[in-house]
Amino acid sequence: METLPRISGGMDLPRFKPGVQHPPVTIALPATLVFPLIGHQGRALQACVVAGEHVHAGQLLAPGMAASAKGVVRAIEDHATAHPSGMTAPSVILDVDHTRESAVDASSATLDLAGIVGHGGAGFSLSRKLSTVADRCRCLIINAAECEPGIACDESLLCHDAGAVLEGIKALITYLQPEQCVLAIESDKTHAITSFEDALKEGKATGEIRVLALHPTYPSGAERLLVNQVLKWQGLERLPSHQRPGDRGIACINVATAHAVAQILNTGAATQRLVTVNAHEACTARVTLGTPVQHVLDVLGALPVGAQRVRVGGPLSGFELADLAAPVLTTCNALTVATPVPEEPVLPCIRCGDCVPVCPMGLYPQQLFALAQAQDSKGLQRKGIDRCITCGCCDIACPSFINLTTHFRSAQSRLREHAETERAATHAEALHERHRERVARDEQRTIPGTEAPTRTAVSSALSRARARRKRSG
Amino acid sequence: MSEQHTRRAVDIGLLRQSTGATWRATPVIMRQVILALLPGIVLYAYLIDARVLLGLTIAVIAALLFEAMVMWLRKRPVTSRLGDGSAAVTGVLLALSVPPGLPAWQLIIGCGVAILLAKHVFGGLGHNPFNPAMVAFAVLIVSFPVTMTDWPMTADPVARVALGDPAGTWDAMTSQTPLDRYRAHARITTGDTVFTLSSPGTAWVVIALAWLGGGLWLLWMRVITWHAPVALLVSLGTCHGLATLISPTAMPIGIALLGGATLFGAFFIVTDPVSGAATPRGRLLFGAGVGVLTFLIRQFGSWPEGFAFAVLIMNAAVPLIDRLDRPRVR
Repeated sequence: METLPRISGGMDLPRFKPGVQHPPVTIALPATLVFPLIGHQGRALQACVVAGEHVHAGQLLAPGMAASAKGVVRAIEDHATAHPSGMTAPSVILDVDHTRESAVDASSATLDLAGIVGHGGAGFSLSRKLSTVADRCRCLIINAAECEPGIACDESLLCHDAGAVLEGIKALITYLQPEQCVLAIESDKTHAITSFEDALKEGKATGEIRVLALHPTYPSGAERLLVNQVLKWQGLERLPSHQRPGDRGIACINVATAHAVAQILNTGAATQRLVTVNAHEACTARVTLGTPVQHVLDVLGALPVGAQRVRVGGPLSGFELADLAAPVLTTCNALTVATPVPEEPVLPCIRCGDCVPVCPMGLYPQQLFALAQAQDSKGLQRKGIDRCITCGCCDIACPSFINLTTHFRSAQSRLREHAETERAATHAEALHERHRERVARDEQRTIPGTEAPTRTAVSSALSRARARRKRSG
Repeated sequence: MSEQHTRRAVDIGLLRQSTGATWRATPVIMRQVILALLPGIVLYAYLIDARVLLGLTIAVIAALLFEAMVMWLRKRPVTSRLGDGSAAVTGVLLALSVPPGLPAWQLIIGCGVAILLAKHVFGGLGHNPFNPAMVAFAVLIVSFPVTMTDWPMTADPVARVALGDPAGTWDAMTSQTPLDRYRAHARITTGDTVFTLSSPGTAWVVIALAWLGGGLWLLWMRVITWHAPVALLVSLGTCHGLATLISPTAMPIGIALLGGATLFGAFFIVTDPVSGAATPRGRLLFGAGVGVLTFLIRQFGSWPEGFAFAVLIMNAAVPLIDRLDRPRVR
């Protein structure tokens, strides 16, 4: 095992990993599962099933969205989603068929990745990620870094199911044929590291997969930072800002996604994920995707009482859940049931610059904040707003308790929306331009004798018509 | 597991505490700045003039009253803003920048200028483009040039020798900042004269070292960063060093750095976050600019001490520095 140096920027947060010591608790299937038709970055998906249709586990409900259990589609209707805004979205509601699933012939199962959505933060489609590096994969990075306090599902996965993870990684190696494969994990997760290394020994893959230990700094597990760390370790140049990891033949895949690949190999469908549940008793829950949060907490006896609220994700990346009917999906890594703490009143920004050294991306959050308040889109872009990974380090560092990341998130979505309309407008303009050209060309091509009627011809025709009407009337 | 324990997973406030951000909130920082000034203030009162204490009291009360008044006029919460201590720090910095014998009404006008004209006209805390204390200083020195240059030095043997009154027959002498003595008269070789603690010439140096000590403490407490002070001292020292190479009668580096407002300004004025640059590179540029301008005004300008004007000019350049300093995105 080799140790990588600390990232520049970021924060050394206290280690708080609830529920890793006990094996995961499997949550029984609920009566209904919910699959919101939303893809990566909020893109709407088109359902490819209809109400009343029987589906089996692993069947695609929409491109990039697979059913996680056998059942009947009850309806496609608006349903609460686990989204910071508390919005509802058209969702496939599935009545679960609790009769025993016919055994899947694991040997015939092919690696069908269409339905796997990355289990990391962004929920990017796995098949699309793999297609960017297909045939030229130089390095496969398995991301087991999980540096935010309060989230421990990946650590728990490695501690208690390292064998399946290894199986998934091996399948990915067979598929991608990378020159090198590394598993990156924070150095303070000693149990997980030992457990994975034992699995490596058992699976005789010690030479195949190298374990890289990261300094436990938040957010060293962010894709871009991790890729740059690994590139530096390999003695290569880091990614320039316009390049994506795929452009350099690097695939960075979350450890839980690798586990999902193993699930497909064994059962034909990736149906479950681990979720850290912080309640009066912390545990890791094995939840079928699409299970309403309500059901998970009910089974664990952890439904919120009184002033308690449910938070999805950690203290930095997470948000308060508006409706408990929202389903657990691939990106949901932790649920916390607690009484929210009133936040300190926000003070004016005094430009102290404390946010600058902690930004892992090397941005100037203070300036971005001022530009976001002034709604200066050009300035924001000049100062690299699109590079912000909204990790929340500046929020913690800010002595005036300003929630900078909230401003950046909305600025980013506003800019994205703006770019979208701009693109649509340019497209419409191009269409119009082409139409005008075509009309002009047609006019030039007009054969003599069939010219468009002149003004006098039109008026004389009108007067003839009027005279005719007068005669008949 | 207790609710207290679960809270760790949701409470950003706890993370702020664990990383020390709550120790850097504006009110805490302001209290630390005043604390860092205390040794210098005590030495000032003891060695130079005890009237500085009266001046400090008047300035702080006036600044707080102006702040309260303007917050009330702007229909903003009065008590919370007074509690952040920024107005008090402005009052303290202004009182320490003016001669201790400045008439109270002039000092109060200065506070009014600092709080109303320099700060709240632009939107209050966090929005003032110019350092309020320096704006007030500039307004005062232009409006009341006589009282603003009335520095106590009656007990200073060095000055007496320099001014031609070694016997001490004059009742009082007025001059501009102690630094001015070195400007106006021949160089005083420190080897010939024995400095004692009671003589203001050395007293000013002792106080300057007290400012330095307070500043280093602020650095250690991470209230300020090293960039602006170091850039200022290096650029000012370099300029004076080059000047001594060219002309032997120029002000020696030691006096340039220890005399006048240099150390006080380096740790308590150019480190003002609001009116200064906010990024490491910007702060280097800002401090260096103040250093060069201070030297130019001292050497070629008609003012004895160019520090306040140098700071104001560089304050005006901060938006430009902010704009030019592009982040090196990782």
